[in-house]
Amino acid sequence: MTADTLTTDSLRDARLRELAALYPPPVIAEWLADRSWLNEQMNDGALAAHYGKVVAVYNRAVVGVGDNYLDMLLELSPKFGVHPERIVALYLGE
Amino acid sequence: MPTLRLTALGVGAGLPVREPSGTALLLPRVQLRCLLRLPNLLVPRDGIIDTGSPFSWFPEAIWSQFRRGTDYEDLPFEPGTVAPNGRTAGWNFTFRFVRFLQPIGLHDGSSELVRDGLIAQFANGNPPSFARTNAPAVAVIGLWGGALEGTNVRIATDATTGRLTGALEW
Repeated sequence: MTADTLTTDSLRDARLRELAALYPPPVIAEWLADRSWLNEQMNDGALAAHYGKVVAVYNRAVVGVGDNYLDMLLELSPKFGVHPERIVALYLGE
Repeated sequence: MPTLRLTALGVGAGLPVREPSGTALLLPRVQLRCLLRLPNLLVPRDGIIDTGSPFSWFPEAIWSQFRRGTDYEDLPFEPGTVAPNGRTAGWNFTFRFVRFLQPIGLHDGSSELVRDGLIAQFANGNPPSFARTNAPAVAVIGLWGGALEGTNVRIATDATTGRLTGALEW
């Protein structure tokens, strides 16, 4: 990990803490509903094209596919006006 | 018998092979996972049920959020003990042992198996997939330490879909 990476990660972390303070904590039942939906999609093979990527889900829809989870949260949390941890995300791989 | 449904999560594209008869066969790549209710975390994390792992272990991205003295206590090695490295696919790690002071919940969103006093490994660092993507880290629920004792892991094939299914019964 380089110094640039560390700086970038620190900035991401700081911004995520700001976003977390802006919005109420996630409602677990809503989070679980999205996670169940994500599991169903995976079991049905609907996300097979995204192996090796991070997939983000909100309100039973895939709202992001990317290589860096923190970058996705920085975009999706303000976009949907929710706490960053409300976005359900999973790395599709081992 | 209380049961929680394990998720047979596809973690890669299926691997096609050919039988001697010439028939194509697609071999799935799945892990059995549950959700973990963990102290000081807002939302659950994934736990891989792995009876081939001697212990349960947590990557640093997860355990760094636990509070020493509140959520866990250290179990230092006896002086002179040379600790082996932990090993998982594609990653070797050093670790320390801890005992949780808060209950850990294994659940599927509706049923929950609550465990007190779990003894587990805290890995130094994170697996390569986390370092690459910063994705939510995954814990491993291993054989010894208080998570799986007294349970049955039931693995079957769904008659309709042909897919692997898993459940934890206690």
